[in-house]
Amino acid sequence: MTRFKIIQDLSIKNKIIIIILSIIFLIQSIGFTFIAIWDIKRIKSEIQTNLVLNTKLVANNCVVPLTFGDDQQATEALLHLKNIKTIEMACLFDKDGTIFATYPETLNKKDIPIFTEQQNSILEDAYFHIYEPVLFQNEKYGTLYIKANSKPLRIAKRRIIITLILLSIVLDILAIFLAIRMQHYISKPIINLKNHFDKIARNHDFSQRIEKRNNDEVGHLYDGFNNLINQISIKQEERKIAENELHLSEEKYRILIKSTPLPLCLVDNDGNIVYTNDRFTKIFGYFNEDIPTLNDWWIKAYPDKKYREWVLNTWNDAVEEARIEGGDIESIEYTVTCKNGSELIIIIAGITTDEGVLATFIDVTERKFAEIEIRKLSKVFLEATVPTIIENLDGIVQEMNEQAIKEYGYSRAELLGRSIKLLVPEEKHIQADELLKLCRNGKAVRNIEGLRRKKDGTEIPVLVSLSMLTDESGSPIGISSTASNITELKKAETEIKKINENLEERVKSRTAELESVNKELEAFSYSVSHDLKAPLRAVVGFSQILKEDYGTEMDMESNRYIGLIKDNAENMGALINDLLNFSRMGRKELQKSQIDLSAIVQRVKSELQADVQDREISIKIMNLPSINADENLIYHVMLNLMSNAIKFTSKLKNAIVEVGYINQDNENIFYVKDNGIGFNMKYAEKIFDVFQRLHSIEEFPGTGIGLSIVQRIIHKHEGKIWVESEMNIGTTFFFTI
Amino acid sequence: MKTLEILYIEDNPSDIELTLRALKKHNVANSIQIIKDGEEALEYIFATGRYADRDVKEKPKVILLDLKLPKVGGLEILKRLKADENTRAIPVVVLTSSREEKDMIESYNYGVNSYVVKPINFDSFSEAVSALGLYWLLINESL
Repeated sequence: MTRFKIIQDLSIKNKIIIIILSIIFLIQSIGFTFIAIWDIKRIKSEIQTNLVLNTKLVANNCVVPLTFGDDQQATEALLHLKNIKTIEMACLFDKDGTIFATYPETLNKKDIPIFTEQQNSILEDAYFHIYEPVLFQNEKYGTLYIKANSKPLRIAKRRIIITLILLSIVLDILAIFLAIRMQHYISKPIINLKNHFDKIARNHDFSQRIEKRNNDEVGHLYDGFNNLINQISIKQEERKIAENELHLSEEKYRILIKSTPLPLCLVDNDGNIVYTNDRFTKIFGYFNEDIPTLNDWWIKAYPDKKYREWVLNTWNDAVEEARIEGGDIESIEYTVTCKNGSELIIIIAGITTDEGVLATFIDVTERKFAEIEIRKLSKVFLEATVPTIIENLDGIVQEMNEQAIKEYGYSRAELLGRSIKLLVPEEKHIQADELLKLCRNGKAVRNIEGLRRKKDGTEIPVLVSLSMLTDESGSPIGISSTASNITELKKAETEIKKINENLEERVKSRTAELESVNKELEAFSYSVSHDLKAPLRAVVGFSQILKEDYGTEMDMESNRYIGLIKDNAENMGALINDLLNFSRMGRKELQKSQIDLSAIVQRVKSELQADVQDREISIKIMNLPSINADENLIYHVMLNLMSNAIKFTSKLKNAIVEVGYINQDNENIFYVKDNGIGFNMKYAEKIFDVFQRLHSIEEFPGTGIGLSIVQRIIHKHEGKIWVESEMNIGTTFFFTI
Repeated sequence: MKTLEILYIEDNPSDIELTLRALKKHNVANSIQIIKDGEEALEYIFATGRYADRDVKEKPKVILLDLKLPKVGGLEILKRLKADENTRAIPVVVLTSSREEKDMIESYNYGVNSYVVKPINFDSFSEAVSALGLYWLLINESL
């Protein structure tokens, strides 16, 4: 079985070769065996015949010797046998079976064969044994026995076998060659077919056809095959087209669903949200990953637990009903919380399918608010305290509010369908038409003064405003007209006009007064500058002269008095100077430039050098940034603050004055700090007031105007100045520019 | 006749006395002409009116000028002085109580040579007066 199995698994080509070869071998074996047997038999009988013939010839020659008993002659006769090489031995028996002569002449007794009467010829032990009677005229005279080897037979046998084997080989080679050649005719088209199959199977390319070469069964097979492939490829083509169409249509629907402007959400029967479209995410902010299941959706979209319960029940009921009745899920309004926390009013509806539920969402938030808005507005319209009438484009009354009815005295029915002119006195009809026209042309009509006539004929002054009412597309559909009663306003206006006229006059006279006062003030300060100082100078000068010229003649007390006169007059001079400075500061225009504050502080420091000459004082100055300010005024500020600091540390042994700045919130805050006597912070505000002193003149001299001037300068620069101080610890002035 | 050294235009007698004392104390001026009103000062300078007989070419070495004067103000005098070719070269020192910026700016605009604010303190005053006298009379080389 296995052998057959092997054959079965062989390729057709090899099968054909094996079959052809097997048949050839079989036939060849039978034929050649037959030929060999026949040939050998023929040769054997030829040899035998030959031998018998020769034996007969010799036997004829032996008749005479036998007859005459001449054994010599018999031996000679036998000697003729030597020409036949194969004959190895011959014996001539007489009639009685006695040895009469032998060949060769001497013969070993044991080699002598057993005499037999019978004439025969046999092949035995690779030798031919031939018994031939010696006859003469049908009378038997003896028997001749010949023993010949079968060498020629063997040679012939071998030759035949070799020849046949060689022939076999040649024939076999030829057969193999032919078989290989011939099998092409059968196997090649089949292999071709098979390769074609393989190719199609491999490439799925059904476009190729196999070329038909013969008109035999394989040819028909090819036809059948091509036909089949044709069918398949047509089917394939059809399927491809169908698949393509299906794919396109699927893609179309997929895009449609994905980008449809209606939010959609697909929930399977296990409560998993299997799909949400783009619009869903756009509106609610939730991606499918945010809400993998319906439960997640409940929790996120309805964070309020009570409301969630209501939504759950309502929705589940609606779905249940839809399942039973096989219809749509009822549209119900819900308030949904979006991912960003905002709330939307959404109508949720949907359909139930075998796979689950497809929910749709409609955002009605704006519509809802608009409704509320409209409701509010109509309430506003109806309950407004200003009479408001809605007319069509031709001025025919279509609607009015309560106030209009109340104010004009007409009933609703009396006004509806009538021209607005019913409410306008005749002399104002032209104006009314014009206003209507203006409004129709899209111009604003706001608070135009006009008149309204009541049913009872009284006229009231009003401010008319007209607004175009438009539909959604913006086309005009009507006009809203409001007319606010301005009777009271008119009265008030007349009053105000009167008052205003007075007021204007009053302002004029006041301004003139102020101007003259200002001029007087200017003149005053100018004259103070000149005239007030001259007598002081005289007082000081002559006191001095008196002291110089007559000091020695006066007693101590007189000298002291003179000194007091002089000191006080000098003080007054300083006061006047400071006051003038202070008032000048108010009038002066700022001359701002980028100034180097460090340089100014250094200048001030050298200016004050004289005051600190004999003192133990350390003046520390930080490197200060440049500022945009009036250089002279800032110099004055620094001079004042630093001299103050030096002044109020004058009683200390290790006085420290520090000038620096800190940067806070991108603003430079400058400070002048001392470790002087300080003051109680409850006077911190007062310290900047004019003539305000916190120490006696004897203790610390000064006019009490310096800080007022400093504050004025800082304020003029739109800066701030403040002070921090502690008794006996020190004082720090801060300012910004 | 001695050459005139200082023309002092001032109406306040106390200031005059104090100034003269200061100048004398420092031995600055020997010859000082004092004029107490603006009109007279102009007449003197340009040798007109009451001073028509005066030789106009005889010029003071320096003029000390108060701003607030009767009839014609100091600024007007300064303006006229500096506008005239003949008198333009005379150094003019404004000696005043006014620290008003307006006065200072105008004075310098008209070409004043010095602007001195009179100190209240007599020592300072005395020093200031003698210093400017010294400068204009002794140190400054005039034309």
